[in-house]
Amino acid sequence: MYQNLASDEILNKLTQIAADPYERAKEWKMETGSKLIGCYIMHFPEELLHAAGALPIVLQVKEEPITTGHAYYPSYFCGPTRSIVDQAAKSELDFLDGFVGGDYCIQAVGGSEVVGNLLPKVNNMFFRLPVGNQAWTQGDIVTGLTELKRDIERFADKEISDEDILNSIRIYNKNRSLIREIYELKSVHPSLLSSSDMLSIIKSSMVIPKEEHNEILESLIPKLQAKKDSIKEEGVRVFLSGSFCGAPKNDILELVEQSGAVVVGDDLFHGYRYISDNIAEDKEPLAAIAAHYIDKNTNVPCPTRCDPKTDWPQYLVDSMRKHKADQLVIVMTQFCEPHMFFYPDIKDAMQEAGIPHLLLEISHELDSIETIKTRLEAFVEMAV
Amino acid sequence: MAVQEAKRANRLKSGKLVNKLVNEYWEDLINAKKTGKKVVYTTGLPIGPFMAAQDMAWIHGEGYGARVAARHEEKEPQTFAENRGFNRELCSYARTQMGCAMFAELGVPDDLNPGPIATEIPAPDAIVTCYPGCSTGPQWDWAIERVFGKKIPWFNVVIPYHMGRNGSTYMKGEEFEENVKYVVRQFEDLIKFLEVVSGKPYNWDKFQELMGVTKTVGKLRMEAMDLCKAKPAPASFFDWSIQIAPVNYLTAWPGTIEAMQAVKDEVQERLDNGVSAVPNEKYRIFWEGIMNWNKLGWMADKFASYDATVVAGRYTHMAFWHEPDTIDPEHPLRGIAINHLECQLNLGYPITEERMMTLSKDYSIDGIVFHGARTCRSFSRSHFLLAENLNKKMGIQSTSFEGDMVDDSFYKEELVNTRIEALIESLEAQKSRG
Ligand code: SF4
Ligand code: SF4
Repeated sequence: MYQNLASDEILNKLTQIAADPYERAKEWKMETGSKLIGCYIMHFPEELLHAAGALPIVLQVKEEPITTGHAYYPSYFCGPTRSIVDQAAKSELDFLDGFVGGDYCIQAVGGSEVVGNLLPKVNNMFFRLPVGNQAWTQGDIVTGLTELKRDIERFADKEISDEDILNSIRIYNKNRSLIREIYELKSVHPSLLSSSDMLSIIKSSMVIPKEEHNEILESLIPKLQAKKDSIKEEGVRVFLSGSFCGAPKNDILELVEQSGAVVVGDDLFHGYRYISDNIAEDKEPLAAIAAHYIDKNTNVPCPTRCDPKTDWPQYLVDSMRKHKADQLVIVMTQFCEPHMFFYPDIKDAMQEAGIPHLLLEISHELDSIETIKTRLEAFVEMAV
Repeated sequence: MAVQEAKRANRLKSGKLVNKLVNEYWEDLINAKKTGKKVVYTTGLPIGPFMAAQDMAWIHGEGYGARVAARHEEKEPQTFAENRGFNRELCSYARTQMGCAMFAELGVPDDLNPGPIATEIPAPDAIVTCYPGCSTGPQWDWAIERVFGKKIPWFNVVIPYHMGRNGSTYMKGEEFEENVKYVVRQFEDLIKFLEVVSGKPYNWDKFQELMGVTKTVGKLRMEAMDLCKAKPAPASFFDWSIQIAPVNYLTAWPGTIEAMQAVKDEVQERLDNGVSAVPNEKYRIFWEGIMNWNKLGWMADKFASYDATVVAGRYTHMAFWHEPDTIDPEHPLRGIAINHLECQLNLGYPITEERMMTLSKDYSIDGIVFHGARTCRSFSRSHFLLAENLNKKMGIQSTSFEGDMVDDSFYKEELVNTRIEALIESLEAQKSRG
């Protein structure tokens, strides 16, 4: 169905899906009668939920202001967790059959407690993902996965076989590989698609069946390949970093590009972080998923994982060199503690490497957009 | 209309005994390097005995932050941290201790003039994290590890959140038992780690002895607090806040049994003689939230002025060796794990609510004060739910205000006054309606 569409038309479709992120999932539920499970938000083994015949979706931040949710979660918590609380408080998540919370961040734990309270009919599961990287960490992650698998099986009333998980791993690996192909194209031909397009690709992948998404990407990639050499390349090469849990707002991405920059790479959760690495298909599946958590964090270090063997600032320096990026734009979600703890080290690493960087602290309400615009323009101009 | 006369809280006299122990502890710590002791940085719940058994000194990050603030020296380390790029929305304990650690590692910059306590922190030989119910704790320790150039060995005991899955409740159920086993196994590895750091085999005899002390002090404190179920209450939450040190970073320190025994005796004596914490107790309040250390004395008098006793709190009553009976000094690891796993911050919402309802009933609570510590989001995460549900289920009224542990820039005195007054007024109206 997507084969006859031009790349822009396909991207438009993906943008539509991303703009109304739960619609396709709701349709899917009607069509299949199967269960929909929301993941709150980062680091979930979606493959396990998929293997049970459910559709896992990564809950998305909505750009609209938080209103009803104010009564349930304090305003000094991060926008992503508050936005999901707000959606639950407005009954917008009633379509879920289950949701999974996680312990990667205390603000996400608190948010899932509130959502659990607001949605008493929705099955409330939890994924324990031990932090660190000690000799026993991988085994402990397997235990966390085994507990979650048991709870999903009870909830879905279905035994999940290794073959089921492996099958899901293959589908998800394919999706990751396809998106990485697009990333490679964008690194060399950054104007081929905008960073908002890139975001739509990732966001849509998080909220619709991966099988469908794979089909769409298989139509899109050859079209992008065919187009790439006709695109005129200009602009300051920028690398985007941060923005955990919530995707950077489209307004911000547009401002980056309007300032005269092109985005050549990122480490966003709604970006490269989500697809950086595949899960081994030739190992016992839970062990393979556990190893993946350690490996993908070595590839793209995450400050929530508390792994002292990783070096996020150095990763940024290396990635920027790899992508020939001139400047770093850091998008920091207001009140995001894991990110705030790391900023001084990133600042030092950038200074040492002679890479200019700009820190943008972004509130959910986006109340300082004019200032952001001025700062971005001045920053990008520096490199011209 | 609530009438506020200037009345003073009648604070426990024996509380002062603990000051001597606190001074001894800091003296020992500051001189640790001179006396050839290794220094371990810790955060989270009290794990001092693990190190004390190996004759090592330990710094409790929050304890250090609170001490610096108590001497009004917190501004300089906080400014240093902020100048380095640490955002002021980060945990203020973390910012304060990291500022001090940076003075030690990077030196004092020319434009700052920190006090003596803020600059006397010894550098660590190891870092041990054991943080229940807060991801900020391990992240803070990781930041410390980086401040010291990634050279310091770091051991992180992962305390799994006790959500209450599959019917598991307080100290019961499959999830609870799995969690206990998991933590015990990590403690066994921690002991091996400490053997390496200290360079000698683990001294189990000393550890068992120290856990015997911990159990005794824990029991004395819980029994003394229990006596305050009486009306009027002989001591208040503010007394129990001061008495945190012997069950926190001073755990098993020599003299803690005697100090806590004296506290319990004084509470018993007050009870026998009809002496109360607040001269004319009319209302009984629950304090929900971490303590605001800069305002402790002020708060105690404030509530006394309204004839209100703050009798209990989640901070004091649901953590810090609050389950002493689970500790078997001969085989202490399981009991330590239980006390850590079942502490206030680590419990899932339904368990927290159930525990708070039980405490509210036991202590005949009329109202709750929610202190939303701006930079301790672990504590404030469930405040709005608790306020709504405790009101719905038990008819308990509440008020809330923002503050902080050791950063008083988040604290608006006028607002606090108005909110407390409003709560007292509504309690008064409720009482007069009968
Ligand atoms: S990691 Fe950051 S954005 Fe995500 S829940 Fe935690 S504070 Fe919020
Ligand atoms: S935020 Fe609160 S619970 Fe977390 S480390 Fe700081 S003081 Fe501890």
